[in-house]
Amino acid sequence: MKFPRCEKTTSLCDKREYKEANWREIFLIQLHTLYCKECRTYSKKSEHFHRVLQDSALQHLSPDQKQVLKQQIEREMQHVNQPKS
Amino acid sequence: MTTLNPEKWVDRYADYLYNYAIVRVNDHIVAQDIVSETFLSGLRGRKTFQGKSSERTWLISILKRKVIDYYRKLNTQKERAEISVSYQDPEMEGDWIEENVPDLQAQAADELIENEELRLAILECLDQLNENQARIFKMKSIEGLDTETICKELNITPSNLWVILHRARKNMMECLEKNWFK
Repeated sequence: MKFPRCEKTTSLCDKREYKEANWREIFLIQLHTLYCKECRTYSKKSEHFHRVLQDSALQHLSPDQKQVLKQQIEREMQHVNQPKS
Repeated sequence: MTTLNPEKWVDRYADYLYNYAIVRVNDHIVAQDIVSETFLSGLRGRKTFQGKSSERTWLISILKRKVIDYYRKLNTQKERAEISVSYQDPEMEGDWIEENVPDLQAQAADELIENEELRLAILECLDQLNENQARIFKMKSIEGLDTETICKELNITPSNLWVILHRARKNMMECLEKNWFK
């Protein structure tokens, strides 16, 4: 097993937050962060950021709802740009 | 001086305005209507935009008026429909089914209010990312779409997605650190 580099480790941290890292990848993060302070900091920040994002309960409109809004704007723009007869 | 770009409004500000509205009206459908009305009013009144504030600030000022209009309308309707209900026996007080149900909506509203500033700070940081990073970050982190779906939709490889997402997350962390965790 090759020791992971910093670039690879931080990328694995991203995957871990989205639950897409397997046990081997999680082990590689732990191994690397044992001796690399920079990645240890990134790993902690990454976890914290993900938690904050989830706790914030950010609301969003669905792609369909956004599409409706876009169509409304488009229609209105055509209406606004039409020369008055 | 700032200029208006209505064709980008939905991608850039719809979620921001929606998060702002939802806390104030506590109803998803009403909030959605208010966002739509805000955009349309903005378009109709775009000549009044002087470019002194940002587009977002200007749209929020319109949205605030829409929220006030909504409550005014609601009050007028209430006055018309008001009926007086009283308990026949004072001991029956609290027996109405409605009074026995925990107010889940109010509870959810409290939680929403609590993190409003954080949500707006996140969306402000998101607005500072480049279009590509912002789109992928939104899809993955806010809409919760899986990697395969995003790759298919944007026609990119998974490794491409992770590289862009990594840059986006890094920028978001830096921005929040500056504006929120300071």
